[in-house]
Amino acid sequence: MTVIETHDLVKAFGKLKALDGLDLNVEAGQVFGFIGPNGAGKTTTIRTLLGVYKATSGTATVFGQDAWKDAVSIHEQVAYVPGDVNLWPTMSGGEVIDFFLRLRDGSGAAYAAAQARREELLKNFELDPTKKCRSYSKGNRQKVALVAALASDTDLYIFDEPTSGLDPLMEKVFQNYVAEIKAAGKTIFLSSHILSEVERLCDTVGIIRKGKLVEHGTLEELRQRWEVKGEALPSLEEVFMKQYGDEIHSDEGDEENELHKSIFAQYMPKKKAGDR
Amino acid sequence: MAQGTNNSIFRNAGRLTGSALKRELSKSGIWLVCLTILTLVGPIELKGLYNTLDSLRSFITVMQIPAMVAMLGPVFLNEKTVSYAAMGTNEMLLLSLLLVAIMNIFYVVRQTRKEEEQGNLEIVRSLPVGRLANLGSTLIGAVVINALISIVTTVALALLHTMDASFTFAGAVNYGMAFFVTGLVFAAIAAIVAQIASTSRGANTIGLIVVAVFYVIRIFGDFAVTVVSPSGATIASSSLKFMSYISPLGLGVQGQPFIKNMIWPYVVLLLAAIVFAVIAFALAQRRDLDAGLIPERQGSEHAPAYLRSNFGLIWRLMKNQLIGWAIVMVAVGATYGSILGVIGNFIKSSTFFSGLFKPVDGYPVEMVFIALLMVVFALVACVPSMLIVLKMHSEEFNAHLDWILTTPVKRLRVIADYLIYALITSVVMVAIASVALWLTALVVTNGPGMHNLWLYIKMIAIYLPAIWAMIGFTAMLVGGAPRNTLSAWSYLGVGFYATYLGRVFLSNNKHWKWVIKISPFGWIPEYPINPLHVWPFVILTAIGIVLMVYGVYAFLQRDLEIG
Ligand SMILES: Nc1ncnc2c1ncn2[C@@H]1O[C@H](COP(=O)(O)OP(=O)(O)OP(=O)(O)O)[C@@H](O)[C@H]1O
Ligand SMILES: [Mg+2]
Repeated sequence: MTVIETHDLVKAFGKLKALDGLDLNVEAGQVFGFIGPNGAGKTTTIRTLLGVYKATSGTATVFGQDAWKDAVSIHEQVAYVPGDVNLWPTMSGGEVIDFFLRLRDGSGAAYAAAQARREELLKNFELDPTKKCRSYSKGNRQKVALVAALASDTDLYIFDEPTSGLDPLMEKVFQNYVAEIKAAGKTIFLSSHILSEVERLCDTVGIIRKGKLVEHGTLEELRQRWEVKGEALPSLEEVFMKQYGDEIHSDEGDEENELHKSIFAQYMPKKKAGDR
Repeated sequence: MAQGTNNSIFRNAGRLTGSALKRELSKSGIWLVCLTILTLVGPIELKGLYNTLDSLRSFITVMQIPAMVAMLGPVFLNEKTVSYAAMGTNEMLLLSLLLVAIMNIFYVVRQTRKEEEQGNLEIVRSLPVGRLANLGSTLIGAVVINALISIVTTVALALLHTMDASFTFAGAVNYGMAFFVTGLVFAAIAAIVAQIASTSRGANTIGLIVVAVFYVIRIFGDFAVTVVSPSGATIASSSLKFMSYISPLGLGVQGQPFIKNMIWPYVVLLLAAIVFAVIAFALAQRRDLDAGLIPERQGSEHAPAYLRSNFGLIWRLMKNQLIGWAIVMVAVGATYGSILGVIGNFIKSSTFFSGLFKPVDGYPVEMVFIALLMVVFALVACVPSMLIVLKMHSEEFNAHLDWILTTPVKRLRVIADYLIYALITSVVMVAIASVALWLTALVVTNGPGMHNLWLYIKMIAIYLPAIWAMIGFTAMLVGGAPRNTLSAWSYLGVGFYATYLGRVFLSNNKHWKWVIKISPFGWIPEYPINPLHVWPFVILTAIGIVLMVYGVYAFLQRDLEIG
């Protein structure tokens, strides 16, 4: 079953096309890693999928429903952690978490289960729920959003750079929970710049650049596609850099940057780097 | 000694000032324009309305009405010193100083705590910049901005010399100085508040409360000066006169521009500003970045039971503010109620006033008088409702709304919640005001017909359709023009001057009467003086509904605006 599907998706802000014909496909049970350079359109994709932005053209569906029109019924089964977690300065972390759990599950058995998970998550993430949100550090703000999302029991989890502020121990805690969710057969959409994390957690990876999906496949497929004969299979970081460097070489418009060139040269296949 | 070295705590304050001023120019520019217009509008209007000095003299008594003194400050004019310049500025100076004070509070808090909260100063402080450089540059900026405002108003007034000879250069300079020193005092007060409060919002709130307290304190002193003079009816004993001087707003008008042109009040204010600034610097040295001297309170571990929907969230976020506004409504109701007790004698003892206010349809003269003030209640009651609708806007810009909307909450539900809240609030505020007025009237009056709660409710409640139209206007901006929501306040402000002052000055002026109707409040008749007709209420309510529906529709169609 397809959980997320976009076809020729365009999102324009004035003249700038943040998404420029994006074709995306995420199947149920997949852990999908969404990577790409800064400003490539990852957050814009997520916001369009969540009905925060209205697509300029093309289609975006989640669970087979229209991301804009059927937003509310889609959201019954989605938990989301935003990239920049902005909390209400005067509310405590515990209040924010409870609020989101109640928005989703209201009351009854589901809410009680969510509360039980909440306590466990607070303990494992070492988060003090009585602090006012304005005095949380960046990592702790992220934990508030993570606890609110992970405590709810949904079919799809969307994370926008969820670990960018977490310390190494907390990152491991997060990865543990992702593995748990994955084992339960849920779908996970993870946007991240930490490629080792994507490598560890995700089975499928998509690379977005300038609003287009430029690579898509299982981790293995990607590595084999960029394999150089006689060398070991490339890591995801090497794939990312090779792809990035390759595009830059073929893009006429991009101006040459000496530093970038020298960095890419370390990743480029020998013959290609020599050609230039 | 430390001043010159590289480790000076003020290091690079000058350079910071430059960049701060650039950021400020767009924001302070609007205040500058408003203040200049406000300064010029009074004198020019007077000249147009009263073309002889004799007719101007008759107006002195109007200015001495307690409600006018409470709002516009003491009247320094007498039969001899009356002139267009003196009266025009006497009438406008206090309100202008009030705006200058508010502007300075916002400016200082924005440059200090707001910048810290947004993390901008963290970067700056890691550069070779002294610890107190930001507060220093903020206050230097305040000197520049206030000087600019004072120079512009001085020049503007001096240019009026071509219209009337009473606009002397000395008077214009004196008037401008009032702006300068009062502005600096409030900038320094804001600097202290910014060190104490635990958030920038807290700092703004405390700052505005300080301004409000100073505004109210001087009312007691100002009454002592003026109300005694024409009729002998004493509202406050003259022993309270000092209260005009302990408030910077009260002291700021004591220079009496174009009358006595005195300097000493400004010297006192300048000294006060310096003392406050020194205190602020002392406090700033002991404070961490992005933390106030008042420690942060602990929050609760769990959400209160009502926090289970967007509707509950609005109450959680607005609760304190709304309770504050309810108290303001009680205070306004009680203030005007207390006037009811004395105004009757005051009017009867003056032939001028008994000509102006006559019993209508069996309603006592006090009722007639208070009916003219009802629009003030309505304008004040309108503010919290608008704040609620605008809260949705700030929730959207602060990226809270998009997060909520990723849960199974409908967009329609969210905006409807805010509008319903605003509408309920408008009714509650109006009810509180009328009950407060009635309760005070029970205590201070014994005249027939003065104890009728229903009548008070009716007098205020007729303004509800105007408030709903304003809610609609705000909803239209929040839904359809989210980058221009500040216009809502501009419109309310313009409406206030157009209606409240317009009714006093323009209601008999054939050519300018329409100005009163710029604001929805101008369309409501002053019941019971003027009879009620159904159609203004129907039209205003309809306009309100149409604007709200448009706002909702536009909101449902568009991207959320974040950041
Ligand atoms: N609301 C908006 N209005 C105008 N432009 C926008 C808006 N949101 C995003 N953009 C632009 O769209 C492009 C894509 O931005 P987006 O935030 O999706 O990138 P991203 O891949 O998430 O980057 P990062 O890795 O830095 O998080 C950028 O050029 C950005 O400036
Ligand atoms: Mg992003």
